[in-house]
Amino acid sequence: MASKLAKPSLLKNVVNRGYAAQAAAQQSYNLPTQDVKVTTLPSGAVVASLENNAPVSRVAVLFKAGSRYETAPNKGAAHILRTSAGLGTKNASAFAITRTVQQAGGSLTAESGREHVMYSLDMARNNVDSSLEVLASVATQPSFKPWELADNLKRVKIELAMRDPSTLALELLHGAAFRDAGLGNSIFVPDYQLGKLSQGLMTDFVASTHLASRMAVVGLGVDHDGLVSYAKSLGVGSGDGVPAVGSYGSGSLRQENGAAVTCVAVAGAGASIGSSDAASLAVAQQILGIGPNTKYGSNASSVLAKAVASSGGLGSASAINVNYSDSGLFGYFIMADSASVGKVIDAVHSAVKELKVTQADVARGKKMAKAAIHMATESGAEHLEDMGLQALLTGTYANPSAAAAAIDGVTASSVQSAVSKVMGGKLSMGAIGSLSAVPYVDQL
Amino acid sequence: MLSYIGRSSQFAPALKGTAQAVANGLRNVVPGAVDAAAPELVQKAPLALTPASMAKRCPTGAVVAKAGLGATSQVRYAHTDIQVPDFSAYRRDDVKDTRAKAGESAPTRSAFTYMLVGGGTVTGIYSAKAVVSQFVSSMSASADVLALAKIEIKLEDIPEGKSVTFKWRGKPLFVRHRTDEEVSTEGAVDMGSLRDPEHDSVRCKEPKWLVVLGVCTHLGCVPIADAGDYGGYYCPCHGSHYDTAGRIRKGPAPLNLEIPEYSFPEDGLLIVG
Repeated sequence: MASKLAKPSLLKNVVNRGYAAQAAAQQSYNLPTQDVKVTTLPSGAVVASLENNAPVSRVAVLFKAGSRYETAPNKGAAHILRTSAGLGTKNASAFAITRTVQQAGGSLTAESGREHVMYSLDMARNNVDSSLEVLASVATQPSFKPWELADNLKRVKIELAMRDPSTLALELLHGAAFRDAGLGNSIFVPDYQLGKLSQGLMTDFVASTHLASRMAVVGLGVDHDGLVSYAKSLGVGSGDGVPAVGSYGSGSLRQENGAAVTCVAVAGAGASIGSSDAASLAVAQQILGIGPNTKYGSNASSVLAKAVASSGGLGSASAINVNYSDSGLFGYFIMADSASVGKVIDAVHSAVKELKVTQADVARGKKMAKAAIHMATESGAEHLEDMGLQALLTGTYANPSAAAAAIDGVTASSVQSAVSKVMGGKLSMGAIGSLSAVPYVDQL
Repeated sequence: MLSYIGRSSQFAPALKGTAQAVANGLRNVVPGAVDAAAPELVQKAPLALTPASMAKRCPTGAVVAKAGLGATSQVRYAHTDIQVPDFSAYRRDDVKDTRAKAGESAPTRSAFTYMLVGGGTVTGIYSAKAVVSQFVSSMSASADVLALAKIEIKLEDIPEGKSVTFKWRGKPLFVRHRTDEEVSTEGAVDMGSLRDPEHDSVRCKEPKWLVVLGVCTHLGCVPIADAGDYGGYYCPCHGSHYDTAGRIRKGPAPLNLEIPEYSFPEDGLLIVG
C-alpha cells in the first residue's frame, strides 16, 4: 500500500462517535512559553527548534543551495530543484510522497531564494513523526528521473509566464547590481536553460550544495532532542561545497516592453546580515515607507508617499532593504503609470538622496521596525522561515526581542550616515515597462 | 555610398537590413524560420492602475519563490481545442435561425411531435396485440388436432335402416339412415310421455338421418344399435332404451343421446364437428 497511514482502524467511527457523545469537559491549560533551543552539530549543521504549543507542527530542512551557488553550466538549477520537490526520490515515488503527505494531513513545500533552499513540512502534531522520513528523502535524496524532469518543464514554463512585472524588476535589479554571478543569478531559470538541466547536472548541484556544513534543521512545535537526532540521521555528505562568489558592482538592466505600468527598482550597496549598518538601514526603510498599512490608506507619514503625491504623477513607491550574508541592497522601488513615471522617479530619487532624518522620524521608524520584527513571528510559516534563515546564515538565532533590542541602538545620525553612504556610492537599476522617460543610473 | 561601404568593410551586412520582395531564379527566397512553440497560456495578472493597487505590488525585501504539493501555481487546463460537432443536419428548420423566437414555432413543432408519437403508439399497440395473440393462440389446438375434430361421412354407403358407428373425437358416433316409418313413428310420439321432451324435427335436421353420440347419458356406456324395446338403441350396462331419434324411453338414463354439431354441405356428404 502506498501509505501505512492510510488504513483507518475499524473502531475509528465508534470511537469518534463515543467522544462526540460525551459532554465537553471544562478544562484550562497553562502551558509555559519556551525559548528557542539551538544546537550546533559536530558536522556543522545547526538545529533550532521552538515549542510554541501550536496544533500544527512545522519542520524545515534548509541548505545553502540558493541561486547564488549556480555556476554557468547549471544556471537555473535552484529553480528546477524547487519545483522538483515532491517528485520521485531514491526510496519513494512521487505518488507515494503525495499520498503519504496528503493522508497525514500535511503540506510539503519547497522555497528557495538567492542563498537558501528550504524544504518544509507542516503537519498535525500527532502525525509529524511518521512523515518526517518523507521530508528526509525529499530533501536529501532526490533522484531527478529524466522523464519526471521533462514533465516538470511545463510547470516551470507556466511559473515563468506567471511572474509579474515587480518580480521581474527586482530580478533585473539584482542582475545589474551583482553582475552575472553569485547574487546576480536569478531565482528563475533562464529560457535558454529549459531542458538543458539534466539529471546529471541536477545531481551534481545537489551533491555540491546539500552538505552537512551547509545545513540547518528547524522546527516549530517539535521536541528539540528528537529534532537533533533527526538531523543526525539525515544522510548528507561532508565538505564545504560551492563557495559564495560575487560582490556588489553596479549597472543597469532595462527591459522595454511598452507596458502601461512601469516598474523601476534603484538600489545601492546595502548592509549584510549582522553588519553595523543593518539596523540603521532597517529604520531608514521604515522612515522612507513600505506602503500603506491600511487598505486604500494614504500612508501620509511615509517620505516616499509624500514625494510621489507631490510629483503629480500616478504611482506608488516603497523602500527596498535586502540583507544577504555578505552584501545587501538598499534603495527604492517605484511602480508608476508609464506616462508619469519620469516625474515620479525624479521626485522619489531626490527625496531619498536629500533625506533629512529628524528625531521624530527616527522614533517612528524604530517603532515600526520593531513592530515589523515582532509581527513577522505571528505566522508560523514566516516564523519558521526566519528561524531557518538565521540558523543557516548566522548559525545562531536571535529572537524578536533581541532583534528589537538591536533596533533600539539606532540614532538619527547613524540613519543619516547609512543612507548617505548608500546613495553616495554607485547605484544600480532594474527597470521594466515603457522606459523612454526613465533616466539612466548616471542621469538620476 | 561607396565610402560608407568601404569604411564598414566586413560589417556592412550588419549595418543595414535587406528584405527581398520578389524572388527570381538568381536570388531565391531564404526559407523561413521554424514556428516557435506556442507560449504558455496563463491568466494575466490584473493591471495595477491605481496607487493603492500599485502599493500592494511594491516589494520591500528579497524575492523568494515557493513551490510545493498544492502550494504553488494553480494550473487549469482550458481545453479550447475541443470542437463541439455541428448538429444542424438533425435540427428542425424552424429553430436553425438563431434570431427566430422559439415560442412562435413551438405549437407547430409540438403538434408534429405529438401526432408522430401518438400515431406511433397506436400502431405499436396494435402490432403488439397482434404479436401477442399470435403467440398465445399458438398454444391452442394445432391443425392436425383440429383436423381430427371434424369427420366427413359419405352417406351413400349407409343403407336404409342401418346405423353405422364411427369414431369421432374419441367417442362413438352413430349415423342412422332412418326409414320413413321410423320418421313418422317418432314424429307422433307424445311429448308429455318423454323424460327429456324433444321433438324429432328438433333433433334431426334431415328427417332421414340421425346423428347422435353413442354415449349413454346414464353412466357413459356405448348403447347397442337396433336393440331395445323401441327399435333404437339399448344400453346393456343398466338397461336404458332409446328410440330411433335417440330419445330415452325406458331405463335409468336421464337425458336423450347428445346430438353433435353436424351439417350436410352437399348431397350425400355429412360433416360432423
